Amino acid sequence: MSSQPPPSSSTDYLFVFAEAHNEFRVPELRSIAELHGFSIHIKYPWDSQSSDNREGNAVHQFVNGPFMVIALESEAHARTLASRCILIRSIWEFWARGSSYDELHANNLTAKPKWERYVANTSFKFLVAGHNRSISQRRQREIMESFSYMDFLGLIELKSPEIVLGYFEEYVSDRGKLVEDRNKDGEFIQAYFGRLIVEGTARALIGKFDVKKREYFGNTSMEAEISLLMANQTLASPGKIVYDPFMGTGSMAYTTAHFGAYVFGSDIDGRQMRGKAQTPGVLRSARQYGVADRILGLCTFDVTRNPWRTGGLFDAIVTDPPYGVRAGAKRLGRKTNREDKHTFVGPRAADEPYIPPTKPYELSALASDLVRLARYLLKPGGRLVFFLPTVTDEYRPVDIESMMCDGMELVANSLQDFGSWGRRLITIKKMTSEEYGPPSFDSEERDAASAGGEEEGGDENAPAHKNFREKYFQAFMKKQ
Amino acid sequence: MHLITHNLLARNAKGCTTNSFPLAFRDAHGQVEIQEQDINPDFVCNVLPRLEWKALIDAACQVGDESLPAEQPNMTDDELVQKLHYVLMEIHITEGAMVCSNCEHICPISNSIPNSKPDPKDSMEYFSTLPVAHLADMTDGNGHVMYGANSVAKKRARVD
Ligand SMILES: C[S@@+](CC[C@H](N)C(=O)[O-])C[C@H]1O[C@@H](n2cnc3c(N)ncnc32)[C@H](O)[C@@H]1O
Ligand SMILES: [Zn+2]
Repeated sequence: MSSQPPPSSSTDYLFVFAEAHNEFRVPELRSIAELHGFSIHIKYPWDSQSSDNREGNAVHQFVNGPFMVIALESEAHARTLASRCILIRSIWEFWARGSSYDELHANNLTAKPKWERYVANTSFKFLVAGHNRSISQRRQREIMESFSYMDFLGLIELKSPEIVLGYFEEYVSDRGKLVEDRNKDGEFIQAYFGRLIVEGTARALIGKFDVKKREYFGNTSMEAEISLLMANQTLASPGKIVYDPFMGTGSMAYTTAHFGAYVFGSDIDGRQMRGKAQTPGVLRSARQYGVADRILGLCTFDVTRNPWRTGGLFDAIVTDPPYGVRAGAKRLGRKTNREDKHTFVGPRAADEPYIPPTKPYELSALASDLVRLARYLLKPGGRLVFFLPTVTDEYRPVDIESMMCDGMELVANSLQDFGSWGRRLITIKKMTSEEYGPPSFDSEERDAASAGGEEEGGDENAPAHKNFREKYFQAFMKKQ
Repeated sequence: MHLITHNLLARNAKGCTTNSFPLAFRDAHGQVEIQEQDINPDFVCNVLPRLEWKALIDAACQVGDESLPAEQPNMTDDELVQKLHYVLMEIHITEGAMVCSNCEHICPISNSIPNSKPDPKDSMEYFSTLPVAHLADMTDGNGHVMYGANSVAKKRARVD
């Protein structure tokens, strides 16, 4: 249950989400609600284990289905969420739910004050849909008829009804189960009933930002849907300033700028940002999306040797750090061991006069450096949004704690699951208004500090994303 | 490059800590463009507290603009916001360089992108950190191809 009771004036809404990125749903809702200064209260499904579902992380362990009942103070809030949240398919005024037909109809009768006013002469349309089970025409009709006690006298109108009623049955997934164990009609987990308020309009942006239709992209480009979810986690809005220190081809810059923010991008490898044409690739894509004016600046540098004159500059930092699967992390400096055979002499680009030597940069060091860099560069209240890859079997919540520092607080942690590995979208907020300096990016210094003076053997506490690349390949080899 | 970038970046060479800001422009005169763009007053007010006024005036002067007052006004009125928008966002430097007046390191600007990396004189080797052999044509759980180091490495090698 929610830790705070919903305000007395609230109304319950049924949210229907896209059937993907389950763990991103609640964080996205909360971000957009925070951006617009209102709150949401999840009424169902609640978390059976935790007394605190503030982060929304508790909720997801229980739900995979795309339905949620959420209390909001006003219908305007529902419309705001539907216009901005990428994962919302539709929002309905919630009338009833139940784990059986009897329970659902009993609850619907109790909810009569909500639908009474439509009885006399409102034209309507009735939608029936199932999750993890398709519902035949014949059953659809039977289900509609089972609501005849409501006595709706208005016309059934398929083209432009005054209201749309929605009925949904949610079943467990029976993929891969034996025939006799498959779902049977009516044996749903939960059925839901309500009246359509608004359909989600933000999902259309996924098509707009489709990487394949982009002027300039590369093999590190982030898929559109995730780039949009990341932009929402930054609370991007007009006039804000957002920074991507591993800019690459700029995928998140476009979505963030689309919501009105100004974006600064930097990368150790200028060729990632510019591509081959005269006009830098990032600017060409930005122009395509109508956001070129909001690309504040681009600069080539190693983020561990960054030239920022001052901290406290940005409202958010959004980034996909180089974790070695698609593009390895590098930092300037002489590589100490040269066992890596894949060295070659980088030819000089005409516009890229120097290619300093680089050495690999361990992911766990990168993550905690990034949090400290964010504490320096963010304004108070600003957010850091980034991906952390993890080997699924080895991940523990403490892994996130190990990269945190004073003044920074975890807001959300959403897994995108690829099976043996995954990546977590981490959202961290700067809670302090104290000014912190830049991190030293000195791994020896950091190791000494985190080992707490102990000799060796600190590996037990090493986070699971440590040496991610090696683990990733081990896991991958096992699968074969 | 916008002048706002110039105002926020200092030289990052090791051991060069004093007088490393602001960088001086070099060879930028012929490569200044004015590109009009929509103004967002919220954005201008958002960056204002972080600007170094004198550096901004000097930089504008170097590229031939003297529209801003020499001293930062106490009041932020519409007119000032307009002028700041022009200086910060509409003046572009497309080619040239910036030089640290302390250590004389050069930060070249090409195609509007400054390069602020240190410049070792002796080497330009480039190390790939990716184990090439295993990476070709891997797919993730959604059937998306995980991009191989192969293609990255080849691409890099091809860049001219
Ligand atoms: C996973 S990619 C980011 C992709 C980007 N989000 C996009 O849409 O293309 C990581 C980027 O980090 C850059 N990089 C690696 N080490 C770096 C460092 N020390 N400082 C700055 N950038 C670095 C790489 O050149 C690469 O472009
Ligand atoms: Zn210097």
